[in-house]
Amino acid sequence: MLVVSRKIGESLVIADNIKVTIVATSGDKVSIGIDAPRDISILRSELVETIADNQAATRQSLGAEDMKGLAALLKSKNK
Amino acid sequence: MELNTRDFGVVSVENDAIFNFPEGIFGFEDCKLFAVFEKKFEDISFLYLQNVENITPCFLIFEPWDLHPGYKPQMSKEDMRACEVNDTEELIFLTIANFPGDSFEELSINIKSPVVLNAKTRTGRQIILQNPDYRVRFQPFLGVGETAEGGKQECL
Repeated sequence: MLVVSRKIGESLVIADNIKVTIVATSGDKVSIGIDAPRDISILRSELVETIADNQAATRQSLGAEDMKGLAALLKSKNK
Repeated sequence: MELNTRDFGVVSVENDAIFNFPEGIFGFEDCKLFAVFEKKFEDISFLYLQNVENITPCFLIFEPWDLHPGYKPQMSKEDMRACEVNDTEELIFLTIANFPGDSFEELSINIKSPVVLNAKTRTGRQIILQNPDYRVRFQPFLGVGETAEGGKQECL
């Protein structure tokens, strides 16, 4: 991963049409401004991961036999 | 009411088990109505979050404290407002389970983005917590998904 040091108010440009600016910092938080074309979606990575996790979770249909196996595992862990 | 479920055919649920999700669930924004129902296997109660209109999406869910006893969710003020509460204690927290691998040992729960239910307003949301240490896939039996004890106490 490329790591770049920037001061508040400084920015960097990705390709020729996305500009990322450090707006402010406060404690361990950094506010980032992004100028990008409208058709580029910008999502927090936790959201992208959660969408993928939800989609995988709903595909995992577990029948009664599977659930008995899971119950046995949970019981063994709670001992 | 009679609920068509993904895993168990028709299950009968009380009306107070139905929750309105004004924003849907992440990735399923059009699904606005979900039921919570319980099913027992080997004396253990399991909870499911089942879409009411269709048999999917459906999620196996856990109360986070069952698998993460020290769970301390930190909600943003915006999420508190959206859920119409002043304190996380006023909400029911549920986490969506997943099995990223082949074995049940790899069970993960999404402690970063819990589903929260407000029993008074009968509404639910999936929210993203502010806890920096929490990951989307916390695997309690493998000890994966949270860096060492950390994170600040919730303060409003």
